[in-house]
Amino acid sequence: MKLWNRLHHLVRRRSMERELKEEMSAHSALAEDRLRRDGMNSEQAHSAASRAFGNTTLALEDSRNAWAIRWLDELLQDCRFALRKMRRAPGTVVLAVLSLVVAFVPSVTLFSAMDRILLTPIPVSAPDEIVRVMFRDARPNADHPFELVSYPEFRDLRRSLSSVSGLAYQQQQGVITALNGQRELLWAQLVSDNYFDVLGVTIQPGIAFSQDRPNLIISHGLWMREFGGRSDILGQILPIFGQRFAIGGVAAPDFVGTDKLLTADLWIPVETWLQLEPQYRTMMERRDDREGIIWGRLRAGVQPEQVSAEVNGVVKGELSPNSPVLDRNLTGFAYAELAERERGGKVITAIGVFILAVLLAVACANVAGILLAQAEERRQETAIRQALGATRARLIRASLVESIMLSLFAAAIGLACARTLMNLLPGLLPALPIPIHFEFSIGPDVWLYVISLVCVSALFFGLIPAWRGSRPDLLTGLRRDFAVSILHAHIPIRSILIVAQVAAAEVLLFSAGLIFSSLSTLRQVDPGFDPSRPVAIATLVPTTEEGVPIQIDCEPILERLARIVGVRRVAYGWSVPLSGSIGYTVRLETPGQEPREILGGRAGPAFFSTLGVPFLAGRDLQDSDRQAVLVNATLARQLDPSGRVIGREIRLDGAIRQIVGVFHDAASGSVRDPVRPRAISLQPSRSAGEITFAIEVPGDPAAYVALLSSGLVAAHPGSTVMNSKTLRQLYEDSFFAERTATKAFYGLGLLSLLLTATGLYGISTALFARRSKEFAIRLALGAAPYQIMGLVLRGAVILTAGGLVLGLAIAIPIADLITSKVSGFSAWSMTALGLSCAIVITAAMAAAAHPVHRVLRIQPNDVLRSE
Amino acid sequence: MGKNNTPDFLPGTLEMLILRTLSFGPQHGYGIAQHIQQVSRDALKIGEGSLYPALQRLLLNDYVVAEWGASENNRRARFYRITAAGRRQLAQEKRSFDSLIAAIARVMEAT
Repeated sequence: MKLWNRLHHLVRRRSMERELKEEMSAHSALAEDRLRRDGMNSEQAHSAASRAFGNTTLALEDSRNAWAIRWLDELLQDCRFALRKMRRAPGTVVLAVLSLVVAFVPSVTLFSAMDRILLTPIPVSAPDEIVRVMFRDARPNADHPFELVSYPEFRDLRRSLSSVSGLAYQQQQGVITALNGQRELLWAQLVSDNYFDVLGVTIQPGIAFSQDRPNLIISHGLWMREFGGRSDILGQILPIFGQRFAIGGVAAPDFVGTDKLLTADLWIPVETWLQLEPQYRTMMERRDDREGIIWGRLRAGVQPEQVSAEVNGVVKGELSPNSPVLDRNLTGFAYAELAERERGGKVITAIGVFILAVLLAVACANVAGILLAQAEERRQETAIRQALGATRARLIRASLVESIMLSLFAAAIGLACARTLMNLLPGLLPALPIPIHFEFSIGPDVWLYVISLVCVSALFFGLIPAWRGSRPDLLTGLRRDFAVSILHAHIPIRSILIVAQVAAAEVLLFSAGLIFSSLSTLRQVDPGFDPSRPVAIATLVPTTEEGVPIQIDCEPILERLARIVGVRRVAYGWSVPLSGSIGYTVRLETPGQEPREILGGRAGPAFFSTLGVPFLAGRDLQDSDRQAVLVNATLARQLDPSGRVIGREIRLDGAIRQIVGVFHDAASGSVRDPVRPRAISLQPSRSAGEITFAIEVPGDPAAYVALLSSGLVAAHPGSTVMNSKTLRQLYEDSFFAERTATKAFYGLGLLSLLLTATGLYGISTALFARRSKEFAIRLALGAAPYQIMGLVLRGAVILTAGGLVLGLAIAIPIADLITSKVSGFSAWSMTALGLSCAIVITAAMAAAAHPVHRVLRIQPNDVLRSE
Repeated sequence: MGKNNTPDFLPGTLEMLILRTLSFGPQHGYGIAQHIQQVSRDALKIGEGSLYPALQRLLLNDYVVAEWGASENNRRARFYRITAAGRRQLAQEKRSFDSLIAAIARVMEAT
């Protein structure tokens, strides 16, 4: 009640004070009336009444104090005072805020990413009871130590496993749908009908997969995004490749599939899918086409190991006899992946938060250094406040308020930067054919984290300067005696921190240099085609307006594209180098050799020549080459060590083909993949499914990319065009990971460099503040300015040198290790080493430059006179 | 600051006197001061510098409420009225004051 009255007063302050003043003047008037009645004249009465009343201002002040919330008033005072102080030293504020921002931005960004990816659990019930079942290749050096499960294998397992109460199937599938009159590419998951029951994911509204008609479940995100969360969507028709599916329900809000990064928006029962899209059946019925992820719900009391053992039994007994591709090396493997992921996520988050805390501690130590130097320079002011009666607690509080304000500024800027960064991140990824809807948001957990960040860091960097700066020693403070100083001796821990920071910056910059050089090394790997050719490509997914896949004839499209002004050559094909996918495998039979799997592929007439794939022998495919095939150099060597294979016949998937050309080993998935034997047959002109068109143009192909896609869309309205880019872009996109890593390491290196610089600046400034009088005396006694500058610089030089030595001690063994593994690397690593040292030294000297420069501005007379 | 506004009184007694005065009926500030002065036969003169802060404290604690009205000679004045909480406070303060006075008397009259 009392607090309420006080707050009420705070709000109505002005009017309440006006009333009080009026009341007091009424009081005087009544007293005057009385005195007049007692016989005084007006003038006497007035002065007597005023005398009796006393000091009106004091009475008002005391009345006001009765209401005031003292701590709040003082807090506001402290805030105003802090703002005034900051205005007077904007340089220091900018520096302190900057070093905090440097720590806050990665803190907030990483924490919100970890919060989203690692901490938010997947909304399944009892994740400890859910096991992921897969196959393990027990051989050492196996290409794929773990294997997914094919659909027929899943059916067998589902029939035979008794240790789980349910077994569910899931397979990622890109689909084309029509939403609000727009065609859209979405990620769907083909799932078994019991999928949501096994995982224990609720469907609200709606129910999971009813039997009466083809239906699917949509994600909560899609419901919100495309249907505005309308309640009447149940039963609405959503066409998938033109087939009519009814929306049966909406999955629980946070459920985007079992993978938080590769999210799904639709769940389609796999059996319904196979009925409506029979062309997928052949592929899905292959036992060796293992693309399914399967989940089992453990029966009560059953351990994952029992499931592994049971799967093992099924593999040995039941799966193998049916399996055309006999794989006796596979064993069963089941583990509670979701629960493990949850636990792992917590551990990784804890480690991440710890690393971020170290970063924050370093930044705070730097800010503390800057504030200590500032407190030293403000000693006189502090002493005056103490002389006027300010208590130590009050001074500490005022100083902490200033720290919290610095921290708040930094948090505001940090949050804004982190937000921008999060919005930028998806754009940094190479364009994916199917967009992944990944929302990066600042949720309540993140806000809590930011608030604790502000408070903890403010205490961390503010407390020591506040404590030391408020030390009550009036006389020395007022005299500004340099013999006694709050900074005392060097704080060794800060020096150690600076050394560690210099070392970290050095190692990070060096690593960035190494990754950059490994990128250069990768660039020297021959991609097997000529990225500099003026060629634009685009992939067409032919469908009708409703998204129904159709067969198309490529010839008319070629004619249409050839009419684009300037186009010199057009071609189509299916196998594009560096497309990220290695394509499919075919069975190769040659006389006198065991049948084996090699990579297959299809290309239209002159497709490879258009892409600039060099031919080692023979020629490219032609229109009439129904039975012809191209082989890569690796396959040619395997067939005949001399490589003379032109005209030879081989059997591919049972059909006889004649080799007409040998092409240079072109990288298939990426330049990092080892080259595998490969055979390319003719892509027929009439076909269904995606097909890539390439046009060779004069000059800059970038200008033709849009023309190519619009040409394709015009040829088949309703179709979807993806991956339209130039050959150069295709090549560059394949180095995305290395380029991103280089950027990330350079970013981190520059970040720690910035931290180091602020730290060094703080130390040098403190040194200058502490000894400015001594310097003045030395100058007055005839020391040359450069000698004094040397004194200031010495600290910075020693710390930087220490850090560089430590950094090199860490970096050189790494460089040695890499040099011994990769030939031709030593020159690069020496350059990277030299460059990183140069950057660190430059930054360190730049940080010390300002305090050193101040030496020049010392006026010995002025300083000594102020004694 | 603001701790010792009533140097002539024991702490809290001014508030008690004001509450007692108001227990006879609503009164404005001048009236309260006059009443205390008259009843104490000019022994207790309340300076306005003490009166108004004390009234503010009483308002803050909801022991009195204030409203504007007209004084006997038709001047606009602010009248204070004691509340139920104020009466309870008055009774309690009177009890502790009585025991204090009795204790002081015992000390002074001891032989």
